[in-house]
Amino acid sequence: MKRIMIIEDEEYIRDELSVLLTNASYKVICVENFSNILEDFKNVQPDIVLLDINLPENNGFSICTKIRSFSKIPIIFITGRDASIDELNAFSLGGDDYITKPYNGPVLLARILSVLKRADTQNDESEILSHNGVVLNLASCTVSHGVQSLELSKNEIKILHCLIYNAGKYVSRMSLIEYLWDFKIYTDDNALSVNITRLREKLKQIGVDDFVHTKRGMGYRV
Amino acid sequence: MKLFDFIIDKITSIILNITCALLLSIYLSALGNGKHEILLILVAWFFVLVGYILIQFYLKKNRLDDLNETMLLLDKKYLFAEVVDNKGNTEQRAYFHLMKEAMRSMTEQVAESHRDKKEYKEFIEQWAHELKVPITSIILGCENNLNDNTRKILLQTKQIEDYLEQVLYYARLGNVEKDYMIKDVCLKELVDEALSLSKHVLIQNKIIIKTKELNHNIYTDAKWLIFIINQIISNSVRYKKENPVLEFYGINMDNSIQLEIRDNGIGIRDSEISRVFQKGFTGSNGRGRKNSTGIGLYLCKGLCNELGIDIKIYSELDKYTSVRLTFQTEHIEI
Repeated sequence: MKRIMIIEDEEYIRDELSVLLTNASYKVICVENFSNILEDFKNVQPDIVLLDINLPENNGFSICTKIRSFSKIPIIFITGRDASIDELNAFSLGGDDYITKPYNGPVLLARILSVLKRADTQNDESEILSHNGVVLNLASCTVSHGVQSLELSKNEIKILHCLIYNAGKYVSRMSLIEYLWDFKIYTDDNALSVNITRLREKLKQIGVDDFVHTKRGMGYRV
Repeated sequence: MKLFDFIIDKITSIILNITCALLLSIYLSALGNGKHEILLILVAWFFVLVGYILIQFYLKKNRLDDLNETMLLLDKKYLFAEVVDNKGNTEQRAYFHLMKEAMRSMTEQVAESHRDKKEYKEFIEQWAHELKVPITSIILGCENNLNDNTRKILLQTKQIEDYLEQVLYYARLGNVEKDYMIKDVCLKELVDEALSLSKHVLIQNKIIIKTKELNHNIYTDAKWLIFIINQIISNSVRYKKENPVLEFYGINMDNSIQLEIRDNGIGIRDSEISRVFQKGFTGSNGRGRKNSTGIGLYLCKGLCNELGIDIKIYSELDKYTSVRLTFQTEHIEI
């Protein structure tokens, strides 16, 4: 589990970030005392740091400089300052990304993931998921059941991924559409229905019936 | 200054001179002087008077021409009284002094207004930046608890965010040189980023998105361009019809790349299309809907001008609106 250190002085944002990142299966460590951030950093040994610029006592730039003097771990700036000069500063001091407020959750997660991927090649994310005997292989874009296996389209992979990830819970159509949008698949309601139908047919071909349940007004569940 | 005008100005002294000459002639002839002597005196008088008037005219004209030229060369005309020297007779110096006083007071007023305006602008910018913190909190809070209610809140929050961005970019208009970073960016990434910012609005308005041929690289400032695309998206959402579709096309042309953003919304009247980039113009589309401020496209146009992007809008009423952004790939001028 990757450890994320959040250095942000707005309490509410810090709490919500912490919920968001915990839900995305990160271990979150928040800094609440801003006088000895470096000590905390050395104790925690995080894999990535989210750093605000306007902080009490020290500003983010100087903290970044200090961390960079002994560590190469990725630093992402999250800040309300959107002047280009600040962005330039952040990168020249060794920041790995620069995200301005107001940001939204999926974008933040995507950028954390891409920075982490750049930082180390070994990928933590499991590439094989399974539920009730249905095995989804994200690397080869296939779904298999027993010995039968079939290739899925990008959209079908993502839908199945989302459903299996939330196995046992209903996922609303809206949530599925939003999830697909986060992967730059701009689907709409009708297209989603088509995708689901196709996915069901493909699952049937490998001998899985009734894998995706529908409940009116609630969404889909596996 | 013309000689005739000058003579008119001097008319009182001329009349005085003529009257005195007449009285003198009468007096002299009463004393028994001959006509010739009197005529000689009058002629001499006449020449002295004309000479005096001409010299006076010449000097005054020179002085005025000098002043006019100084004024013409001045960049800040209101500083005129500060740069010319004060010479002339007592009356002229008094006038000059009064003028200088008036101008000094005016300069102070202007400086004070400038200071007020600058302070107000700084305050508004500061305020807009501060609003970003609670907005970020609301967005994160809603996204951590997604349901129908929080989705509605997200929509409204996006509205606030858009208005806030408008304020910040309005303040920046005219100061682009202080805040841009030209980079090599892919059109597709810019469009994706803009779409992700408007994700909730687009999904909940059931807008179908089509993208085609966006794998072109351009040199521009990503942040500014995303703002521009976002404004255009938000207009398309505002002026949609049933079964809305929003299309993004990249077109590779000679020496330039074009991004076309096309919707199938209610369109713009022919008679109004030339005015859509004007500040405060809302047109017959906008008036019916309370959310129109007439500032979005004005900002787009202004920012495009400063970034050297050509922006054009085409539309047919009840059919479509198409905004085309053209990026020069050679000879970029900003």
